[in-house]
Amino acid sequence: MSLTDYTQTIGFAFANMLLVLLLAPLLEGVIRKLRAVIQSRQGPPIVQPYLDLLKLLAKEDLRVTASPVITWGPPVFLAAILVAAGVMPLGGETAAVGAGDIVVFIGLLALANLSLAAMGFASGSAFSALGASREMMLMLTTEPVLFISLLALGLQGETLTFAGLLDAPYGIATLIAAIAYLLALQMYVAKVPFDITEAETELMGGPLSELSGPRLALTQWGIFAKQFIYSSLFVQLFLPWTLQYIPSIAVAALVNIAAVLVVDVVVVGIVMSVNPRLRLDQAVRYGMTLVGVAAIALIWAAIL
Amino acid sequence: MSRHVELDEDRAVTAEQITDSMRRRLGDGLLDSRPAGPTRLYLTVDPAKIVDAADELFNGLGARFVISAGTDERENRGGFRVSHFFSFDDEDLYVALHALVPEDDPRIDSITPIIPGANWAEREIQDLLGVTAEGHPDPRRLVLPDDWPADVYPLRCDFDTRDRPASAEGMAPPMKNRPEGAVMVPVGPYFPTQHEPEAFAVFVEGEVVVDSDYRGFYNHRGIEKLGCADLTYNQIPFIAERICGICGFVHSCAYCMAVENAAGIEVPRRAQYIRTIFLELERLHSHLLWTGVAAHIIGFDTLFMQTWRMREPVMWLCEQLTGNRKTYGMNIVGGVRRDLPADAHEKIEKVIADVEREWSALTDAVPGDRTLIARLEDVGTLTPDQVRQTCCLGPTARGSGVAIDLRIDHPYAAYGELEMEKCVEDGCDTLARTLVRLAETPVAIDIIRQCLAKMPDGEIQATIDEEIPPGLEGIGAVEAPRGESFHWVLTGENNRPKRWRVRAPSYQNLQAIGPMIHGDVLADVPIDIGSIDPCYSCTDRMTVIDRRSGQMRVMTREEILDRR
Repeated sequence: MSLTDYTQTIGFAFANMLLVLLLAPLLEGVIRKLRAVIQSRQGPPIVQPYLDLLKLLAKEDLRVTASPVITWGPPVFLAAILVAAGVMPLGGETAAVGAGDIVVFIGLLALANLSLAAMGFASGSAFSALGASREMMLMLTTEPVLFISLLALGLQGETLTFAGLLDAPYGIATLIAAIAYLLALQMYVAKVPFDITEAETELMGGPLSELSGPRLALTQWGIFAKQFIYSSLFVQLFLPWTLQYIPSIAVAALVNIAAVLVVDVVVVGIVMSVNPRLRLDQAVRYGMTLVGVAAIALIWAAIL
Repeated sequence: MSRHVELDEDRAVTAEQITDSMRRRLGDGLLDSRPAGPTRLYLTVDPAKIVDAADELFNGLGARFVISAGTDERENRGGFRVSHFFSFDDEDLYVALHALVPEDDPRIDSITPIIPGANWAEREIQDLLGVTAEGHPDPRRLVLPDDWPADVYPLRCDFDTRDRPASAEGMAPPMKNRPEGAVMVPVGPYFPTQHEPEAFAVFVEGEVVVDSDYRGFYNHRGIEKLGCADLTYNQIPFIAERICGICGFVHSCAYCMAVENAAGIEVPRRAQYIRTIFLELERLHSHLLWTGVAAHIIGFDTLFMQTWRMREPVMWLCEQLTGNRKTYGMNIVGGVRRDLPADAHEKIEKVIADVEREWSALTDAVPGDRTLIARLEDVGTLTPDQVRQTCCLGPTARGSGVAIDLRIDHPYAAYGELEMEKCVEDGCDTLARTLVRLAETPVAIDIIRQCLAKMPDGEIQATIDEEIPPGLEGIGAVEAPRGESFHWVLTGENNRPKRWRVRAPSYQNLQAIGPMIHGDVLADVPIDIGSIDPCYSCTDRMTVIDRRSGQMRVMTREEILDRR
């Protein structure tokens, strides 16, 4: 790989991060607006999540404990998610040249989830600790679905890099993996019925309940970003078309953003509006079923 | 061990049979038996025989325990009156069991060992009047603040409503010890889904509830004391209506009925119909409110928002009819204060028709919502036997197949002239209690329609010429949205009651939370508690646990301020 390639990759990675950082709150705003409409409410303006984050960032930095986990947890959480955004394709193949690898990607998301759980355990509140242990339980079911469905794609294209996955042939296995991924999307983004970690009416926000000000802002920003990249990954890898045929990366990225909005609004927004929250055991059972579905995709990919 | 008593059809009891059977059991211990009309029976027994008498009523004859009351009658009778109330729901009969405890030895045997549902009632007498319940299995302080002096009893006549005992620091509620290996999770005093202050200490192993404890009464307002000392008969309805923030009308109604019952006041039929309409409008908006709150508890905010949107026109309607959204101020002893406006029929019909249409769409959708069912089914289990032992009421009882509904069992206001059926489910879980409330909402609408169709003309107030004589007693009970709201009035001098006793349904239903949440996971606790539609009157302190020692303590204001 030449120096230009590296420069380009790093450039694209930073572009990705910036894109996710700036657009993720917008996605949240649109979902909130949709929810308000379904609930016969006027709802907050679409830019409200930006205003919330700005307000929180400007507040005094108070911490429940001096523990380094509370100090470093929120930036690590957000950074891990942003780096994951950097290695994944957002505008077709070229954004991920050489660097993107699903093992790295999944590892970064696991790091993010772990740091959220660690914040919950470190904050010294029974509710935060319970939320953290729920986060760990959920992670044990969502991570396998993510990994196995991506692996099924990898087997089809005989590669683990995102660049390779984009070129992989679209087969039955991809379709099954796509179904598993889509059904798990609500778990990945941790929205009702899977907002079990935060569960406002049970755990008063779980791991978030003891955070405030800038630290809460960073964590929430990370949660918005996570929502964006999980939806984006679906658009990039699991739809039976690929953005790499669009000659301009900028246009491809815009198409991606539009598709992410549609996926999120149609799937995440509506599902969260018409369901109550599940119990942890019910969510884990649902997640295990999806692991099974993803495994079928993997086996299919391995046999054929 | 089951103490559930099935009454045979041929064992249906009358006041005479109860008196006979009490005489057989107690002998000379039965001092007086005084029926007042066909639906009330007032018994006076030797305090030494109180447990036998209660056992005969509860276990022998199958009565339901209602509540206890303590009255300071040292001035005129030289002692404290302890009263236990029972209901024969199949026979439309309330029975009071009175005993006079001497002033110099204020003790009486506890009936809680045989009637678990009397637990709080007896502790309340102990706290407020200083009559000890001997042999009570759990005699901890219940009602009074933690720093209240041990020998000051606010319900005694020599305690003035303006007396303020000095406050003290460092007092803690005597809570249960944490079971070995369990973690305590505080639900309250401030908790997102409990809209009033209350404190449940929930002991969990993993996420499974192994035990729990409750501390409430933090904002006890001493309303009964005010009613017995400072207020006249016709001032009380307005404070009674403020007992509850949702179903206040049931309290002013039950209070007025108790006084009317004591003094033999005949309420005009038109007033009875107007009361019935407001009782059902209140049930309508209360059940809509509950459905929203319950949905919010399990994270179903769309249902929450939609039911509250549907509820709002009912509130506006009440404001148009009475001048207030909620606290109508309509009831006085002998009738109602205001007649319905001329266009009331059309206005009411329009609002209830809208609610009916939207509600039926909503209830049609519930059985098909598998996620919703999954959250409600088989959680918060309460068996019919537990209902009987804790003396639960309303939808909490009816969801466990125990068909108590005062509108049919003890018809009052205009209910005797109307057609309705009890809504009963036998699932014994949170889903069953939900379905009962869903089914009751159209019934309320139907009752309002019947009232509008049958509404008689005439007076809305009885003429009361003479002052109500002292020494009479009366019972008024109303089927509130949450269950039986029970009021007992003992008349006194100077146009004031000597004693006014209130028992809201949540008083009994809250005592069932322990068995209900036992064995459920923590995630189910908020909706289990919510499923009884609790009404608290409670707090301003907070509970913390020291995670290292597992000790629980209450932080004082100073500690909270100093913590950082």
